[in-house]
Amino acid sequence: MIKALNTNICEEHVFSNIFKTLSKDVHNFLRYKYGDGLNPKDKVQEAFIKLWDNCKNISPEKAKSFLFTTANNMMLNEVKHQKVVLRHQQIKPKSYTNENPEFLMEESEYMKKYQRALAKLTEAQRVAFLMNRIEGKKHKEIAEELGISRKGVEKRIYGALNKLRKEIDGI
Amino acid sequence: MKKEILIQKWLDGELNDAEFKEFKALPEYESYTKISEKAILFEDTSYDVDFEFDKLKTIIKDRQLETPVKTINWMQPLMRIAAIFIIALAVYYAPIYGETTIVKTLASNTKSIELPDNSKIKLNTTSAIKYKKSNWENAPKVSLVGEALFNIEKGSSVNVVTWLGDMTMSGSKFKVIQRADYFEVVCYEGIVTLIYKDKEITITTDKSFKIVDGETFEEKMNTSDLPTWAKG
Repeated sequence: MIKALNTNICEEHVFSNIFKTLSKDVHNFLRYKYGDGLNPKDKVQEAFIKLWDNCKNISPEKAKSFLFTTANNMMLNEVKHQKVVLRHQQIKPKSYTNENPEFLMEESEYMKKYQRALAKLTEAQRVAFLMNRIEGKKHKEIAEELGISRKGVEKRIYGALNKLRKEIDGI
Repeated sequence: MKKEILIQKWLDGELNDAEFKEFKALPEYESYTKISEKAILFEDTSYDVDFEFDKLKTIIKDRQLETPVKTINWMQPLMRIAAIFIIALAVYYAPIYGETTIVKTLASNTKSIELPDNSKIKLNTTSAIKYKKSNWENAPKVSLVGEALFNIEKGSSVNVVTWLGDMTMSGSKFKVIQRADYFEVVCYEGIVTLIYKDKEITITTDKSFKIVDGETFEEKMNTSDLPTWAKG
């Protein structure tokens, strides 16, 4: 992790370390919250450029919250009523199996529904849920990362799961 | 166990075997597990930390390369300010370099002046000359009011301007008196040419030329003696 004492973000190895530790988290957070439509990768870049520009004023332990806040604000500047769309990997037919086309069709339909259902979650639900399901983060970790209580995280993830089920299964 | 807590435990990967059996028995089990499984497909596997970091480094480097351009932009107003100062100084000092030198004498007072070409002028009382040092080589010109004795350096020529007109003198010693209604040139050495009413008049050594009330007189005179005021 980032060493906090006697380090300065302006030092390249410190900056590099922060990037390697946090950039993916920032990226995923932006994606989960706002979808792929607003180029989360670019926002990550911009947020880190801002961090570099302000490296003298920000202590390494503050870098994380700075990055998340900055990146989030950049997104907010652009987000209007844009629909949240998260791209997913296509289910590719495996050449060596005999998965029938019908099955593939169903799967594809399922993913479309899933995508729409994700868009209908609240930002908070989507972020917590995907951090948990995609990245396999424990509730406690997510709570720390988002700065909320563990109970809050559980509620969000559970709420997300049920909402997704209802949307996808059409209950 | 309460369903909600069971599911939350499952989501957090905290179910023990007994709890997992309980969870598996739920009617939503399949739906939940499928949602959970398929969530992985929403991962953006294209995010490559090293690639993104290299990209960031390039962006930051490119920006640093642009920085000198910024400095130049910043220099521009500085250069402008400097230019204003230089121009101001130039304007301030220009009159000194191009300045006209004026030498005046009061009553009962004479002065000797050396011109830039080493020619000498003796100025009698209540007279004045005016000349420009800066442009002397191109236009050796002295304006005279009053009375003066010129001793022009050999090989040099000086243009003397009076109300009468321009006189060109070369390598000569002569006296010019120029008062309100009286004009006189006495040549002691060399030749003086002057233009009066579009006529060129040449005055040689020991000759004088006078204009009194518009009448011109040319006289021969003994010029062995310089005017008393010019002696010494």
